[in-house]
Amino acid sequence: MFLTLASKSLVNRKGSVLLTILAMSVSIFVLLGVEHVRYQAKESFSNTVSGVDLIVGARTGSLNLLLYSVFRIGAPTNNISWNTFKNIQKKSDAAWVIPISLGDSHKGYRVLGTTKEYFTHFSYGKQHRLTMQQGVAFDQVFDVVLGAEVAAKLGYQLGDKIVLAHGMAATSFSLHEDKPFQVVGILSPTGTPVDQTLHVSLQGIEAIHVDWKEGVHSANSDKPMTLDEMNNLTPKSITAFMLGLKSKMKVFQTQRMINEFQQEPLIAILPGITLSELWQMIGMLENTLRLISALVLLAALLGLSAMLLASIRERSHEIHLLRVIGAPPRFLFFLIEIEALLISLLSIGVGMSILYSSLLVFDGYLTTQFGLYIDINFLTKSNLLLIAIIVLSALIAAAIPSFKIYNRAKSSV
Amino acid sequence: MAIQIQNVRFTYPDAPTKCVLDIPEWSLSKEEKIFIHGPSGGGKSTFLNLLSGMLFTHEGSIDVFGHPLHKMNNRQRDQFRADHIGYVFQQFNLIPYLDAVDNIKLAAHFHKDGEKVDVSHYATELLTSLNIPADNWSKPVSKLSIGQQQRVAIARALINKPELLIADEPTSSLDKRNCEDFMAVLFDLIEAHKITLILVSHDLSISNYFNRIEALSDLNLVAKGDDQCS
Repeated sequence: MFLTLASKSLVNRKGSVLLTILAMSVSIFVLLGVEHVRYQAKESFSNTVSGVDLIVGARTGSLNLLLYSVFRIGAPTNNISWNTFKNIQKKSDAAWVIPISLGDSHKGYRVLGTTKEYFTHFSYGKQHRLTMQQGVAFDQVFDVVLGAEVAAKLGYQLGDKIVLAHGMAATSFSLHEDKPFQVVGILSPTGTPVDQTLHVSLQGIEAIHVDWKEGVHSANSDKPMTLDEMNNLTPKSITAFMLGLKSKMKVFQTQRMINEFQQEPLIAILPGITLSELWQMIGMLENTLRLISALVLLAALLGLSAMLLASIRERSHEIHLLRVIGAPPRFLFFLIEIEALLISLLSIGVGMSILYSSLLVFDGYLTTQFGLYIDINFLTKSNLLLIAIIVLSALIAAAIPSFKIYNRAKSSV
Repeated sequence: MAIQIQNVRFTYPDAPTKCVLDIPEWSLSKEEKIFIHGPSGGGKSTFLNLLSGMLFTHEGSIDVFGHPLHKMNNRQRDQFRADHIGYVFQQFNLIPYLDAVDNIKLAAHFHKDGEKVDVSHYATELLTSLNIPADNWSKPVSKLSIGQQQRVAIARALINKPELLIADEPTSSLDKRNCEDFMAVLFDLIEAHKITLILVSHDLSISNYFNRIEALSDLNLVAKGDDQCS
């Protein structure tokens, strides 16, 4: 009976109630959305690389190096010569090294030149190794291994031939059309930028650029290279490399050695430390966003309180009638609280539906544009807690009109 | 005795020197039906509110069916009202957005056994005997005619089988035909259920239903010019 009365009373005032629900839905959408994207972005970034002790590149900001080498965001500033790479590999106590060479693309997806070590040593998340969904790692110069999303979005199968483009634009005019690559493997999904990457051998990268000078294709080569020659090409330079040390104790020593390397200006970073520097920078922005969304919620709650308060005036007959048929003042107190509860539950439902549908719609966009992997399921423990806090705040906000009606009921004759 | 009042005086807290009601002695027998008339502002509402426990006075004693209202606390008086008293006003007798059945059930909800008993059967029985067409039972009562609304109000007032029915100008917003219908069904029901009736009105034309008729000024000393509560 209690619920019937409260819900029919709300339906009876649907105009103002709907507007209040709308205002609260928007604020809940913003609050949950910000919380979810913030958490997921952090999660997604932190999970992208693990088990790598040092990342080495040409001297630049440490954030820049991390962003382009791991997240494929931004552009490398300079290359490292192959000699330097070999030199450092020898000098450091490296268990493994993964060279990476960036700069080409395929339909907007980045192409990564590397060695077979990439498939055996690179790991993400909590020390997950890359696994093949189909096929094998590259072996020949024109073999390519696709990330799971590249294969799925572009519909590629093993054995398909694809052409790489020079530079990053999705509609590049300078294609390496003369040297098509063949898909030999497709990686399992990882939820990291690996999914959006095409992996080829360093020789492959060298081979397609053999006749290129200053970023332009010059066809007047003396004699075409044989496949055998191409398979044995030595790269002149690479973009960066990842380093796994035999002993973790030597990380800082190795880092200093690389940073002080005489022949070429280099920088070595610890991915974990650089990530936390990134969080420090983003933290301010994060807190601002959270504060704003909390204020938006506060505004909506004040609106709820004002709406309920205004309703009490137009319900004076109702209050009197309920008193006469024996309703104690606390019944009226809880009637208003139940109304607030119903409104906030409805708003949470609407807000979550909006959030769910926008996550569905923008999922692909966030992934391709920002390398953010946002899980559609936002009902995490912390968000459930947040929802509970929202409900509680709504009940507290409704306490003002509830006390008002309580007092009025006590003096109503 | 249904009601026994002795030495009751009442002042509103916001005007503590102005006595509104001063009744040395007054009583009503069980199943008696009394018509009380008087000008507005004569303390009629105050009198009825004291009998129903909506208002409370420390001076004097009010016993209703053996329940000493002057000794009860607020909560007890609310429960007493739900269990023992039916109330019909001139208007605003019902929650406008609820249908007739829900309005009646809402009243039953506050009875001390309200949660345990299924009142649907009794509610439909009452609505039938009050000549409310069945297809109007589940419409919001605001869609019903005034005459029908007042009759639904009787059903709402009687659902908890009260011993006392208080009607405060119940026919004032009705036309002559509806007024007669209302009085007829009201008397049928209260006689069938052996209910004591207090009806207050300025409309003397309905007084012919009653054998006890009193002016409020006859029982309230304040109306006789003595408005000092000493």
